[in-house]
Amino acid sequence: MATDVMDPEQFPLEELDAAYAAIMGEIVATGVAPHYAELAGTLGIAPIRAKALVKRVIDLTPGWLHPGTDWIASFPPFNNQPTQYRVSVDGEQRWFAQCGFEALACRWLFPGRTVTVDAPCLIGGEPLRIEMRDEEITLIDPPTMVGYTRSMVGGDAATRPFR
Amino acid sequence: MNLFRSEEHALDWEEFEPRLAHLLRPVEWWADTFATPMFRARARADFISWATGPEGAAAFEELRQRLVPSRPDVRATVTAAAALSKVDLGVIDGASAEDRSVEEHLLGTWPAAVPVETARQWRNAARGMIVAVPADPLVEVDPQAWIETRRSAVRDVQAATGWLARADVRAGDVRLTHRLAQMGWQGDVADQPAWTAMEQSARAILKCRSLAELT
Repeated sequence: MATDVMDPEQFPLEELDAAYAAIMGEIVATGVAPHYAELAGTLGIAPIRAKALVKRVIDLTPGWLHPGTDWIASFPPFNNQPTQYRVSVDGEQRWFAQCGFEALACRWLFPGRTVTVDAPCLIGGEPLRIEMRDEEITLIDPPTMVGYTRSMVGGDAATRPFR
Repeated sequence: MNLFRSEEHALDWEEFEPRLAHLLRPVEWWADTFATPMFRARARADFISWATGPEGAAAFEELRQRLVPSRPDVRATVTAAAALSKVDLGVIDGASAEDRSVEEHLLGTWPAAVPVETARQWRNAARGMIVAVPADPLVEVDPQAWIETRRSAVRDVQAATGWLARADVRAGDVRLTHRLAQMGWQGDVADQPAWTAMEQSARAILKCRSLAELT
């Protein structure tokens, strides 16, 4: 078990790396983020420590917990809470993307596999589809598709340019 | 951070804010943005170490700079645009007012369809593209036919490549495409005076080695 230090600022980077990789690995494998109690088992640490680790990892990345809970709501590029951006890998739809832009980054978690993003357009609800495989964008339907955000990309410009 | 079927759809969104118009981009541009190191690194086993270290800071800065509203380089020329690109652009460089060879190429080409495979090759291989269509007809053509030709050209480019294309025919001018970020521009050059100047001086298609082959 890691040190008993519970000050989030004092978590060793190695432990944060392991927590991040475990969460991401679970989402990639199952489409669902683990609860901290599950993460504790994966990492071989106490649940209370896993809980603090999750919060620290979330603080360091552009994800978030569902307000008032300890549940991971968003862990980019994925979203644990369903969004309109459905992500399929080799034809199997199991994942949701945090947003339309993060949907485009899901491919980096599935090397060598075909990643498809399906979503309705916010205007009219007509379908959008993008297919990607590693570096290649194999389909954009319709080809006139654009992306837009009204939020200043990144929110707090000093720290999170891509939120 | 949403996707829309077209620029027009995005502009119709009730939450569209003109002050952030520079963030309205072709989906390919966003795909490139979300292919920068910050996003690829998430598969690393040491992501937090990486992200909080110097490499992560550099990746962050790269991303931040990419999202800053552009300031078009008023000194930009066709040659500069090609030089800025890190890829081997096939430049049709018949840009002088006297040399109309490029336009003649175009005139005989548009509104030719662009084969899907060629379009896909552009989309995947090209890192930058400028399309300029002459504002005025080169030969004796019916003005209305010329307008329609330019509209067709825009439609074809947009439909075939997914790049944004625009032709403001009401202004008697040409407004065309961007996917220029990796050529040194980041912004809606179509609305910039510098772009108009460049386009007018160029009267050329850049990048379009494939297009040249087609013609």
